[in-house]
Amino acid sequence: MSDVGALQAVLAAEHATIYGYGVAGAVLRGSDRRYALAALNAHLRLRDRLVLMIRDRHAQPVSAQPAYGLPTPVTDLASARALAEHLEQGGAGTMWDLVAAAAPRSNLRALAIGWLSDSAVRAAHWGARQPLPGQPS
Amino acid sequence: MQLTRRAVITAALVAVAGCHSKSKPSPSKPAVLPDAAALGTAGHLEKVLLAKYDAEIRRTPLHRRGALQVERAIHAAHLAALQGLAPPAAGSVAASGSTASLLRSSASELRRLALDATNGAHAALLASIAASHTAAPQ
Repeated sequence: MSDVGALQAVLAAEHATIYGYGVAGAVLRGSDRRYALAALNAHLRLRDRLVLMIRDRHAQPVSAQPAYGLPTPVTDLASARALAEHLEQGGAGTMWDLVAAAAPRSNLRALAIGWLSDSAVRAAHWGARQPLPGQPS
Repeated sequence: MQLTRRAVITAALVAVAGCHSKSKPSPSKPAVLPDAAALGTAGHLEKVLLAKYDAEIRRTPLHRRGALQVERAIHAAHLAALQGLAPPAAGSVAASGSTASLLRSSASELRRLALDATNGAHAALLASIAASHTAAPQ
């Protein structure tokens, strides 16, 4: 996969994650809601950065879909947390691919390594403690 | 004749060049796995962490060992993934400092190894292990 292709995949996942955090955030309460809001803001910043990085590579960034299908209905705190966990795990998968696609010692690889860690930390907060975050199944 | 500094340096360079030409690998020499040293270093870091968890588990009451055993299993999975590619580097597994500080320092080292890895799949594996260390409960 080219680095632009991998960046587009991360951006597509970010669009879905931002949508999903909107759904989960509406159900979450208290500290979980505050954490979700902070995560949403981090994803919004990452999305904006990815758009610029893709444009810098003379490509058209992928657009967000009007809506996304959810893996399961979000009806309570547990299902909202499960959705947030699912979103972070999905994002980690695209970041794994971006690390692999980026050139050694490049700024892009350094960023991707950091984003993968950020995603793993958020996934762990929601309950997913994985040995190899982002590893293709 | 006076032996000048330039003459000594020139002689040394000739000697090094001679050694270099003799040490050229033969075509039959087995290929070295890219990033073998980095993967070996990462494997050693996991062995150090496993030894740390083993010591911590031994001095923890039975009913409180669950979380530590989960974390130990995660590092065993890291080691298994790395050992499938390259043997861990040799060295002592004794480490001073807390488990948390060891996790932080190893995550930092793993990120550096991932950045430098020549093979993308190796880089992603090292970055993922670094991410796992960063996400560990502290």
